[in-house]
Amino acid sequence: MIGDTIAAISTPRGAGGIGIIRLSGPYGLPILKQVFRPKQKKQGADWQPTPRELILGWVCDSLGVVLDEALAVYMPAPHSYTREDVVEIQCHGGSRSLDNILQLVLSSGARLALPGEFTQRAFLNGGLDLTQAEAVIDLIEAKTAKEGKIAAQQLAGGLKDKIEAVSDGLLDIIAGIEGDIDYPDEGVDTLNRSQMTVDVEKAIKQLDILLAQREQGKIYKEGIRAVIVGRPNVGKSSLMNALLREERAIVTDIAGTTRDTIEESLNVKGIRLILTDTAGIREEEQADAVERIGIARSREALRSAQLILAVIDSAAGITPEDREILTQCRQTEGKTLLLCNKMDLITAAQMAFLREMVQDIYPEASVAFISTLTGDGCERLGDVIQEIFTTNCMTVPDDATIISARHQEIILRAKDYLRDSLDAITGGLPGDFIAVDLQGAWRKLGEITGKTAGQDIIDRVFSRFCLGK
Amino acid sequence: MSNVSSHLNRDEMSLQFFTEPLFTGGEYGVIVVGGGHAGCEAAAASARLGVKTLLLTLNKDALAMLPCNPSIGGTAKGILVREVDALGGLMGRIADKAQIQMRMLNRSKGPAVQCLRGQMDKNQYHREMLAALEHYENLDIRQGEVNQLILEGTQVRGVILRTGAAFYSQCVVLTTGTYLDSRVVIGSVHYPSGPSGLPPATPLGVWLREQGLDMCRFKTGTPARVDGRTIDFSKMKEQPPDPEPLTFSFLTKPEEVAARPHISCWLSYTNEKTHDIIRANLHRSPLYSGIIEGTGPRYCPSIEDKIVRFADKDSHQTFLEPEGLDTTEWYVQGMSSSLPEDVQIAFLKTIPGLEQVRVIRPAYAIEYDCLQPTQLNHHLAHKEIKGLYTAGQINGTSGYEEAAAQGILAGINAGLAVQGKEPIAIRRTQGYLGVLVDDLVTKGVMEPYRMFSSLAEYRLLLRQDNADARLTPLGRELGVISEERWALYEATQAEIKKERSRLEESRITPQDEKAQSLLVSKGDNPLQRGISAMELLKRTNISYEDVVSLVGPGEGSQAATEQVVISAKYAGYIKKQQEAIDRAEKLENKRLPVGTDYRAVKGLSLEAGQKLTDLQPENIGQAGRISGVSPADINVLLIWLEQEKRALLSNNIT
Repeated sequence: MIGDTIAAISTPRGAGGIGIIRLSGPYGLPILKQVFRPKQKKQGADWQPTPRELILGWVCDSLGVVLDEALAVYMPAPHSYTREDVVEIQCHGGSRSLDNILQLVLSSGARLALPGEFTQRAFLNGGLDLTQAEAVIDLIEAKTAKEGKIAAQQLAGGLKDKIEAVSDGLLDIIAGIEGDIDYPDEGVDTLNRSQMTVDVEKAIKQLDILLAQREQGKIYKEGIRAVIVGRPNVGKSSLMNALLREERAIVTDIAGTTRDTIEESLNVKGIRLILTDTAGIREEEQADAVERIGIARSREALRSAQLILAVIDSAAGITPEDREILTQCRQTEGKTLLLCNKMDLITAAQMAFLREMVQDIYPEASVAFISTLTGDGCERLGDVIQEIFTTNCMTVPDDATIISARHQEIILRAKDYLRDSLDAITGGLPGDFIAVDLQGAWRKLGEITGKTAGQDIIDRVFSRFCLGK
Repeated sequence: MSNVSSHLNRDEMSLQFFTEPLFTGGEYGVIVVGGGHAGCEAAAASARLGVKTLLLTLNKDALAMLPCNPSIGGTAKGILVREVDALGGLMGRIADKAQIQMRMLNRSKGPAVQCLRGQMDKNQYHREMLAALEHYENLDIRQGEVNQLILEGTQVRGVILRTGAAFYSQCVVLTTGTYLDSRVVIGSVHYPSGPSGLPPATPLGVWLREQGLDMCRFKTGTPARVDGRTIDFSKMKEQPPDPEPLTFSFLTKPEEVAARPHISCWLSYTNEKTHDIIRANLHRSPLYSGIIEGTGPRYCPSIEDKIVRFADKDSHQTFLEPEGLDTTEWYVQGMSSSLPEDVQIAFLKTIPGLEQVRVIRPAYAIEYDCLQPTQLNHHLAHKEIKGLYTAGQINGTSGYEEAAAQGILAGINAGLAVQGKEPIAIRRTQGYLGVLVDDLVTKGVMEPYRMFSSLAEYRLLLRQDNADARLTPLGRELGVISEERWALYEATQAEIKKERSRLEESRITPQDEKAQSLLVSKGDNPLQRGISAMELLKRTNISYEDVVSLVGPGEGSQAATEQVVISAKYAGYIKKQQEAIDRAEKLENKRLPVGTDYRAVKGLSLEAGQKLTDLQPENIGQAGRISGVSPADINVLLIWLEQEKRALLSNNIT
């Protein structure tokens, strides 16, 4: 808890121009060196940052793939906010980019910070005054109360049950190993490595499902970031108006923190759709499409979008400009829904032909026909969008468990341990080494289930095996 | 006589004992009450510190008796024996003198869970311990039954014996084992008795209860002893000793034990007939009739328990273990029971090899009083009664080794207190002894506590092979280590260092054809660049012998070489665990003030506030191990502690 390295996105959520990921703790610098490649390579791989100086470079994942261009700064202890080694990575503000980089530093050895933890460390290390410490306690208290509430909700969603099922399975494996260690003469279990592999892999899979549900849960909780693209006069603004009118559910207008992006949030079939750069659509409806798509901020919006609503004029078919836009859409990670507007102007045969054409250009895209003029197809859009986000193993069961960031962190760590244990199992290491990682995973999950090691393991050993003098 | 009062024991039998001393028997720094494994180590440790010490025992002929199994060590317990030895304790040395079979358990597993187990000649163990203690400097042994402590307010001043003799001291260590108001139960028969026909310590048990101490009632049991001349070993499977000489103590040289006679144990199994007899007589078990009130250990179930709880198992194993070299008695491991004697004889005779068996001592259950150990701190000192220390089964543990380990700690701390020095605590990161004591004082006991290796979260570092490195320097600092032991320790450490640097400095290059062909023959990748012999040793397929074949043998002892090999082979795991230890120690170093009302600390959950107030943990690490105290509570505690610190600082300034 103290002494490890914590990380978090320290800028407000939203499409700010710049987002900051902050790390604090002894591994801050090693992690930075692992994930960050400065543009001006000074001494090859073993570069040393000058303290408190901004460095321009790229954030790269373990395979060397560039995630973002970024600025990094290293603030060695004690001259930092927390009085520990602090590293900040300033990257582009789209939440996708921030999330990716955060995941990267987490998988490189940092742990997700708890609310107020940076401040708490600052205080514990001798910074800040008492009133600020009070605020941290309030935060912990609020967080605990909130977690209590969430926990109650999750109980209904069965998170605890699901984690307990995993942890129970692990306990059986551990009990076999421990029973054999403490009672070597009683022939408890000879290590069945293939069975153990199957069991551990099953546990990993169960955890993966919970993590996937978080992704899914996030869609419900945080909404889907969407953009509307298309060349002029295909009906982008009327689409937006149609969506807004259909749902009559404008939730908020949020001004972006550093840019003039306007977000409009609307509710489609229970999924919150956050339309970004909508101001642009209205203003630039008349602008040249290629130029529009070319401007940096739209490209940014496009890149961070989870859903791209690409609009074409059905009557005009797919023009070279449309083709260009679709190609750009295809290069992003978001899902594309191609909306063929003005369907009231074409025949069924033409529709089929259009579909085929899209299949050729962009087979992964979903296609829907609408008419913003007559309203045809618009009412079905919610279903279509939901379908897009619930296929590819994204089915949302009725008892969907939406886990918190803390739970996600615990589950990820538990998974790390389980993967390590698989190495020990397949590497032929003795049971006590396998147990190190299995117990690690089990203790980690215990932070959700409230179970502690030691006595529980012994309880299981004696309930499963008949041992003793 | 006005200084005698009447009391009632558990069965409402009237007892009379002195409440005022009749005469003064003597004055000591430390008095140890009880001559079992805890008492012997406590008395010896206190005496080693140079404190005048008295060991009081109910019966000197039963000093260091092994009333249950004739063995010492075993999984996890064997590591405790090594730790006691590393602190200069006696158990390991005595066990080496009395060993009649030695095995290294878990050889096929990692070094951390390998443990020594030795069969003991029980009489010899007793004789050797008695001889050692009788010649100990600063130590007197006296036979006598302590009936009560002499208290001055909440300060211990001494003890009063049944005879009325008073012995005065600054500290008292209670190591009363299973004797406190104990009774033996066999079927429907029960009577006040200590183990193995020795008298119970009933008045002391009654007196402690009358002081309002938090007591609990536990139960344990032991199987029958049978006549070896009536066992047909040809129907059993032999379990021979390990062929090479093995020793518990770091001081014992292999040649000292190599010449001792070593004998086998024998394995047999129960069958349906055994189980039928037991099932048909379950109604005669005191457990089912309700005579037994105490809680027994699950890890030491009676045979009737096993049959009831694991009804689908049609056979249970039983080991026949010798009680000594010059006795015909054998211990029937796995068959402890509190069924009536006739049932015991009947079911034993169904076991292959025991058809003609003659029982010498029947199995029995024994109930006894003990203290809830949450009343103690990590020094094994009572939190309320100053100068009172307790160790062994009185603290709710079971096992000779658990007792000895607590005994040495309590004895050291009592002695240090007499000398006016700071007490010591052993951390969970330092030894099984630390795990044991921390579990006891933090979590308390619901059933007799046994040491298991799974209870030690840092067990990869708490190995039997490195107990000296973990504890001997501390023992030296305290003054409980002999010159001989310290010299041996330093020599071993020097050898380790030397061998380590030799291997680190020896280079093996891709041009070394012998090395390359060795690697290929082991199915390993040939070298692309030069590496050190140490790097080579780290490879899974490469043994120390392989490395020696390339760079020649080292000069160190086997023990030193073993340390080098283990630290190379398991470097990754050891590093991981060391990091966890470093993190844990940070929390252990954050001390909490005593006498705090945590219910007034803002931000703590209600449950945490209550439990912390009740237990008064010594540091944040311990607080985190209390059930019901969450990570969020710990964060609140950390901030609260810092606030207190700053408030104190600013008060001092103004």
